Amino acid sequence: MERKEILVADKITKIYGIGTKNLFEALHEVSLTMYEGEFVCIMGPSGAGKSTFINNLSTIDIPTKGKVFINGTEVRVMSEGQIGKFRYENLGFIFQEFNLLDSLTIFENIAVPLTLANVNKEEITQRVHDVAKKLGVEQTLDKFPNECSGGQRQRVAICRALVTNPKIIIADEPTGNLDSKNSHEILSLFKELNEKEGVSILMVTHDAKIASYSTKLLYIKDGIIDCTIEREGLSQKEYFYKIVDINSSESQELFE
Amino acid sequence: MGTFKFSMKMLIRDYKKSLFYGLTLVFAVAVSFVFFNIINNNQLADQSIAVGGGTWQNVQTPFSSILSFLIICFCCFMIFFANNFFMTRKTTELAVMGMSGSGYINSTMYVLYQTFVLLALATPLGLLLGRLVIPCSNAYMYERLHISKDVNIIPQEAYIYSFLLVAIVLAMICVLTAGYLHRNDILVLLSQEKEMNFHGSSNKYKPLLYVAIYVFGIVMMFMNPHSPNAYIAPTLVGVIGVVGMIRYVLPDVIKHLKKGVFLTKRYRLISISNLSYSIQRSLLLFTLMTVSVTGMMAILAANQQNPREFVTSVIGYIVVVLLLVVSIVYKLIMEAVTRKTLFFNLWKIGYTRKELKKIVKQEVIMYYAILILIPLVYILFIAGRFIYYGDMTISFAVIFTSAYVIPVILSGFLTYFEYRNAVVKPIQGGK
Repeated sequence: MERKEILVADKITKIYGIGTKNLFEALHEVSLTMYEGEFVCIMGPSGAGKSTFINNLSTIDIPTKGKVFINGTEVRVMSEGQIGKFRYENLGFIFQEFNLLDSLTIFENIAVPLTLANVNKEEITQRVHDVAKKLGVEQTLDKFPNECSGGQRQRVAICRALVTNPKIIIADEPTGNLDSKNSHEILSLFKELNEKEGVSILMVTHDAKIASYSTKLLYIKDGIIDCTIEREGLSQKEYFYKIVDINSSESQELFE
Repeated sequence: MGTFKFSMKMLIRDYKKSLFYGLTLVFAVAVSFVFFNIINNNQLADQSIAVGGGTWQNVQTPFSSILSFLIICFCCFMIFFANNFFMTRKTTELAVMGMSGSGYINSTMYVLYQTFVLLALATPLGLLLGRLVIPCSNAYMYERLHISKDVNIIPQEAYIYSFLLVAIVLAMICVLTAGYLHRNDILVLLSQEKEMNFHGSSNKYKPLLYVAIYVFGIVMMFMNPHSPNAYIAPTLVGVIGVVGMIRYVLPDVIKHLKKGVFLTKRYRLISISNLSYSIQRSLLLFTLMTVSVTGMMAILAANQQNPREFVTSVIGYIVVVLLLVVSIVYKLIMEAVTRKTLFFNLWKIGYTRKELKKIVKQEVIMYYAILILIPLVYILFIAGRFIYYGDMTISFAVIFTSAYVIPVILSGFLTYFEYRNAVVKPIQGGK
């Protein structure tokens, strides 16, 4: 069966500081094709261009050169309104810093993408309660973000990302601020969403254990994709060791 | 010496953080100087006694002097308020100093060096500004009192008391600064400039109680026989109601609106949540504004036939309104800076820049509408009573109200542009 392309990056280059003396090329002609139902993980050393790549793929940023296609439409030809609509209808963002809105309650935070999509009040209430129950944060719905723990806040951020049933989840270091127990609970949930509900996931992480939940790994170094690993028939443990090997070979270079 | 150098470097680099404080100091010194001139100017003493050879000691303290004293106290209060706000904008620097091994005394001195410098600049500037204003205020008062004297003569006491006031303020600031730094550790200092801390209200009876108090203040106006002083007690009762309404009623109303009709409104859901926070943070300024505006209305109305008191009240009213409006604008703008991340997150979720501007506009309009409406209800009732009893003309009431409403509306425009520039303009990337 032919797999459907959901996200395509065609030779994207991102240069910062254009018009100044401090030109910096964060990405150099990077290409990626992501298919529906894939769980792609991006790894690499600090400053390699991981977040720049994910931001350019998810419409948060626009590449200096090259093209990004989402569901076959090039991002550059879309208006700001269309991109905004695309984001709240198709993408679910999860960040290391949670990025919850401090002035809204947990319930309202989760409801924002539905409010943007003009969903009616009854449906908003129902969907928010459903997703909150699924993630175990139902008891925090009337609280404000600053009244919740880090683990709860990240679960709320995931609720917000999932409430619209997005086609793609974009996660930038989603477990960066969490303890190992919470981290693995959240990754198990990602895996379940990916395997059972067919949600595509694009995730950046530093942690090889976290990366081992994915089905494909891109290793970015100095703004280019250094290598790609497909999990295919490997067990999670075997896949994990492969990821560790890549990271180790990177560290080995330090001593050569 | 290192602390002093770092302190001066940060004062210059981060001059925007000190701007409001510096301006408040200049303005407060200038206003105090003008009112010390009114208190100590023998020409402005009760003329029947002054002509008969009497001195201030023979005269019962005139109301204009009491009012001047109250306005000077108000200026001091505004300095302390600005100082407190100045401190909350310096917390990251102070936390970094703490983490770098700076002790309590060094940290305190770091702030005090900046305060000394600001006061050293503000005092002569304030006196100069006051010196420029006094001939105008003297000329106006002499004309109303039919006195022909040189308007440029300023009693020496005005200078002496102004310097004395600065010294007292400085001593108080030293105590407040030391106390602030003693109370807050590094972790608290680090979180001060970044966090918007929200807490839900829990008591369901308090809202009803404060609405009742607010309404009772209005009822009291009709219970007392009409006299200028009859409105002081109702106004004070009303202020208790206002504080309670802002603290307990407004969040409750907003909470219900957000659960109901506003849940599906993409702009209102955000703007009203931010509004709730902004108003809670401005509670003190809202209260002061209500007390000052309603109180001054009664004072001005009662002194229309006493030129000295009337002119003092007019100057006082303008000063109080301006100081409060400037403080509110500055506080809102500085708060806006802390909301950059919030608006950036909204943009990431899918709001466009145009929609974000609309959210800012809605919040600012609602904020200033509430600021106008809360005292306006009392102003209308007080003015209505005065007009009814023939103690005030409609034009006077209109001018008084306009002198309050117009600066507030103008500051609304300024706030909107600054707020928008602070939170929407920095959003880069995407489209």
